Amino acid sequence: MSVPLREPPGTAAAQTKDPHHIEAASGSVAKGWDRTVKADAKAAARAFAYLRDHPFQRYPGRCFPLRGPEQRGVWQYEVNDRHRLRYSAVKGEARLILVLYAGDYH
Amino acid sequence: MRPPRLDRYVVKPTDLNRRPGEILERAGRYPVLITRGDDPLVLARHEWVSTLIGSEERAALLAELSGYLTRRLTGEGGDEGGIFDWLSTFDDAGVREFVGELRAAVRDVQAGKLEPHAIDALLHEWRESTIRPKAYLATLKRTVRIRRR
Repeated sequence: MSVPLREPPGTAAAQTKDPHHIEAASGSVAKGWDRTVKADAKAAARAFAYLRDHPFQRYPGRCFPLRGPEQRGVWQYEVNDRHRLRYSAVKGEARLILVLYAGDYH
Repeated sequence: MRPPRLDRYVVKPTDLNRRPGEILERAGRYPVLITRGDDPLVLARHEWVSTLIGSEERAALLAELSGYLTRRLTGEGGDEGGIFDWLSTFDDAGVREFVGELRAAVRDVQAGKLEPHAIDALLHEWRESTIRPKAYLATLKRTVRIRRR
């Protein structure tokens, strides 16, 4: 069951007329996101704005598609040197982003 | 950016005192060789020198990669403990895709279409793709039917 991803305080206003809606794939993913926001609120706000405005726009080394057949369609955004967001688009939902992982795995 | 040749403009150490402004201005456009017996110096832009140093590091990295691929190809095992150990996560098709992307990036850097740091970014992206926490893998499996691939 997916849950809306909490918008960090200080997130810039949307730069597009048709922003994406961001949801966490589970409660534990949402908790991982909350921990990320707590650890680095400014970087989390930048990440949230990026995903909301243009989630599939490449930013080499920062925002990119993951490689490997089982991860096809999954993208990663690097919040900072430790925290990561992994997400994908959802079938039949043009403006929905599903976050599959949020947190620190280093 | 490819640094230009080093001996296009040659000066003596005494010229540095006589015409510092002119020499600095030239050094901003291309490296200036300062003769000093058997120990010449070069006055050059930081960006060019950084590119040269980065090129050396990338060449060393590509030599390591070549070693890894050869060991894999000949069945001598992967690169346990080596800097390309992470490539063992991918099957042969994945490694082929990796090498293809890398070759394209190197060609684009040589042609001046990409900055040299694009190669570092590409290696980073592939390396990151091999980090798969258990919780992430479970979610990946659970959402396979709803994700757009």
